[in-house]
Amino acid sequence: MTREKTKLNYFLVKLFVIVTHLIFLGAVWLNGNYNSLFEVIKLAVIVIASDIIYFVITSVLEQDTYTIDHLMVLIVNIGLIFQSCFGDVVFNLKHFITIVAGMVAYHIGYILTRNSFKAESFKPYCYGGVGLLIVVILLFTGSRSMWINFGSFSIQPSEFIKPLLVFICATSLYKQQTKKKISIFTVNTDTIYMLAIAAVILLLQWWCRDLGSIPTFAAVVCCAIINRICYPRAKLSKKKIGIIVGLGIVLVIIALKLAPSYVKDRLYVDIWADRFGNGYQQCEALIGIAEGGWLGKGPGHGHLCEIAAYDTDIVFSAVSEEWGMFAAIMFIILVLVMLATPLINSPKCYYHGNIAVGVVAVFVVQMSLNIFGSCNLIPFTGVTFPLLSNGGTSMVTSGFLIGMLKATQNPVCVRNIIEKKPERQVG
Amino acid sequence: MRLITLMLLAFCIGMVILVVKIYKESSFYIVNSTNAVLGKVYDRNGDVLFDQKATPETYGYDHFTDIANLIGNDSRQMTNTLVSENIEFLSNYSFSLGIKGSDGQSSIHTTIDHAANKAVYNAYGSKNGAAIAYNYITGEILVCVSKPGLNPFGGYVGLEEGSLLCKAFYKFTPGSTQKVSTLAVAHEMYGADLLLSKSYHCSGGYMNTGRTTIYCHNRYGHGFQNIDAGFANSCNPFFAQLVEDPDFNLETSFELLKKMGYSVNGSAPYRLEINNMSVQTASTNLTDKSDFSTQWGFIGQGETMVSPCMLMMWQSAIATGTGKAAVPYLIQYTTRVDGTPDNHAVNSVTDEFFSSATAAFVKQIMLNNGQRYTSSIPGYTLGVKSGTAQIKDGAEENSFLVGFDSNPEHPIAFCVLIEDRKSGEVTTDSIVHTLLTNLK
Amino acid sequence: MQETLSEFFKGFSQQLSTFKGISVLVALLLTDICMMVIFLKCYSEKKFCLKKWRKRFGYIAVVDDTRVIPVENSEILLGRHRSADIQFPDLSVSRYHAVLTYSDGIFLLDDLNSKSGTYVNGKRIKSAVVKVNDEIQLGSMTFHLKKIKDVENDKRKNKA
Repeated sequence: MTREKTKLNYFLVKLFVIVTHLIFLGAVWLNGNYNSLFEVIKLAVIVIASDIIYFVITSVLEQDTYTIDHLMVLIVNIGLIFQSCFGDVVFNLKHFITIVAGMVAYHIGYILTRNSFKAESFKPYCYGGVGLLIVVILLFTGSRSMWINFGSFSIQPSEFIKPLLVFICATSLYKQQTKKKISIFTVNTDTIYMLAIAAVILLLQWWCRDLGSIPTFAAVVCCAIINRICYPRAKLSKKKIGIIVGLGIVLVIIALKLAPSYVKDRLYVDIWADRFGNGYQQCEALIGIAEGGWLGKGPGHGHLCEIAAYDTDIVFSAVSEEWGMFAAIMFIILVLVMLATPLINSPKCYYHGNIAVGVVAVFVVQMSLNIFGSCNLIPFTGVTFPLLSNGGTSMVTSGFLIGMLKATQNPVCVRNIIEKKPERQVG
Repeated sequence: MRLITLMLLAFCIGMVILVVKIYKESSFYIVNSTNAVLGKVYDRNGDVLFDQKATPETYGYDHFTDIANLIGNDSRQMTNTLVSENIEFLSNYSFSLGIKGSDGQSSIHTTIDHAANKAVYNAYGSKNGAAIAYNYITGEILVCVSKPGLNPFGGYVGLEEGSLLCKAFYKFTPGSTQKVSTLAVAHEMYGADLLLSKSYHCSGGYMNTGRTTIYCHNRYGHGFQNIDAGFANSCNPFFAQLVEDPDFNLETSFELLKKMGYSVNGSAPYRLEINNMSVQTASTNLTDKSDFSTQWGFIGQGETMVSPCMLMMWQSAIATGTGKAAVPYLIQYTTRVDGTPDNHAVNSVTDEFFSSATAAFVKQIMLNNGQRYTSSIPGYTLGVKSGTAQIKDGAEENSFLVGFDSNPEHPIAFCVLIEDRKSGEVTTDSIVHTLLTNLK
Repeated sequence: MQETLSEFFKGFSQQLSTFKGISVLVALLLTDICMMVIFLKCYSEKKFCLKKWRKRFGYIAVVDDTRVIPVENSEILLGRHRSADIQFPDLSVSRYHAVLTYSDGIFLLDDLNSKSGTYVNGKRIKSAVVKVNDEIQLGSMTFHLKKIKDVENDKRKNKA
């Protein structure tokens, strides 16, 4: 084999990403509602400059695949353009800072996860981290709140549990198969720890009344359990699927029966009957989508920016209103495509496969809760939309999770178990 | 890997559902928006019945007073009205076209004849009540008055009781107009020959086997009468004895009444919706045929309740001679935002209320009775039954007149109600006369 | 009230006739194209990676000198169960018998508490480093790990 072909040429891809951003900026320039052209130029310069800076950084890194990097840059900067256009076109500095923080978290996530054996050895720290966060939540946030305020900054500690839980839920083939005998039962200690910590987290969330996060955690744990029940690459037998689905339905029914009345009230809400009360946000969100139509009212022309949480909880509607339903769906497809990359480039080891499933579970559940919640298909919970919502904590954790996803594509196989330290090879 | 595919697929399915749902319901969302500009509602001749931007200067101060409680408005305060239940047709919006302001052409074209409606409304003078009339072949509602009316220009404060709803759609004690139903039940049970052979004596009052007396409005009595005379005289003792007759089977009558649309002793009533507006129909409570309240129920007092709309529909079943009534409707057609007509009304008939033989028999008896009205309502061949309902323990009397015009070129069935009428005041006859004259 | 197809086309063409509509649509189209380009790249990356992987970790497992199975993951489950990566249809092998882990040019074999035990070159092991051409025995089944290059060279030699 010749030495020249060790690297693919990515110039075209990078060019396309930049051109796409330019076109979006062009749309802002032509249709936008802005006071001075300076704001648009400022936005454009920052978007394009950050694109280029990032591409320079990636070209230094040696990786098997850059797919997720390119998609990430594309998505994040489109998100920045969207966020800068609500109400009128003003460069959104806060969102830009969170994006930078998110990108840093993205790289940290990547570096921590890319060596599956090392990552697995972090597991005890993850338990410790979750424990610490739980203590923090118990000490600093009240029973009905999930925020800690530092001056003008506020942090949602429960968000950080998500990547830790994904770490905890992932397991290598060897660990999964190791069983210990405790009295009469042969059990996998790892699974027991996982279930225990999951139960603690869910109880904590219930206590905090952070109902929006419960489905996310539950989904991650469920995926992990399914992974563990159905051995690697085994076909899901019909019996097993039947049992799992049956159990799920029974659990949901029991939960609905036992749920206190105020939870039930939240489950069945006719928002139009309470148009100016509790249903106000959702009604306005739906009206916004309807007014936007397919192609939107134009950047900066929306009215949803007057509604609370327009840039977080009902961000899907706000984008729909200004850019049209097509654009909003396009953005979602972009995120989905990014989540689907493990299907094309399947992870090389079982641990990474587990991580990928966990990350996809978090994203899919978060996105469904956000979009379907704001559009009244399911109860409105106030969950953020990953990578688009304006929120530091959410952005950092989403970035970290995507970093983990990227790591599954670019594994490094190093394991320091032998006295003789092997020669490092970047895979 | 399968798990990832599964989750992504589930999410995609959810998205598709969401998009379809939003696409379908978007015009409903938009009518709640402050930016929405609603279309207009027209009567059959193009007169405006509802305009979101109406001012007294453009239409005249009293333009909407006679019809506003049927048409309603978009405030969400007046439910069960034409606009509130069909507001999506007026949205002036489609997902692709976006919101159309004044150049949108969404509208509802109703079957109402506004001129006639106004004339009937004015004919009530100072009295309150309800009048409803429709074409008993097609089902087009031509007149639907409910007084006290509502003036949308007058603000919504200090309103008279009952001015915010259309009374023709709500139940009242029907008085002697119930005897039309009792007559139909008796004919279904006996057949014409047996029914015509029955004759009972009236001496101004009748003591039934339950030892209570049912009085006649004629203190001196009507003497011996057959069904024709008993109906024409609206003789209460006659009908009490008809019900007490050994041939009269109460259980069978329950089934026949249910078939006619009554809710008997709490059974499910006939469900009627006119363009998404729910309409009350009929109900009664009957126990034992020698019981005073049961006999009283067959005569049209006590616990029997019927809506004017339902009374009118039975007239349709009688007048057509089929036993099936035309289903009434208010919306002739709507126009979409780009002006294309849509939702054309479909003529349909109800299930059979009673057999066609009964319809023909009752029609003849009503036509016979109608001959007595040639002086008060001249120029029409009418089948008519009047009624007086005692309400508030006899403190007030509601006056009814139901009937139909047998002229096939003028097929109108009607029900007119004047509340708390005292002698010397405006009569139901004169209102019917106004109604028929204006619909010619 | 749902809109009709004609309204859809009418509305769409109306929006497209404005400059605003076109610019948004172009942006969306370009996003599409961009996505496609990235994806095409992703496939070529995959191919490229596979080649690299083969070149670096080009190992195969030869079971009983007959079955040849390429080793393309860094974790391989050995056992009788049909979900195992390398199946040994023999009752002497446990359902999940052992895990072979590749890291940095070295294979590590871990026994999963199997009943009949795992042997490398005749020695029963719990966990051991396996080298190319070592004889690995699970129950009554044996297999070898070989480098693709060597196998191909052998073939060539035989032919010659």
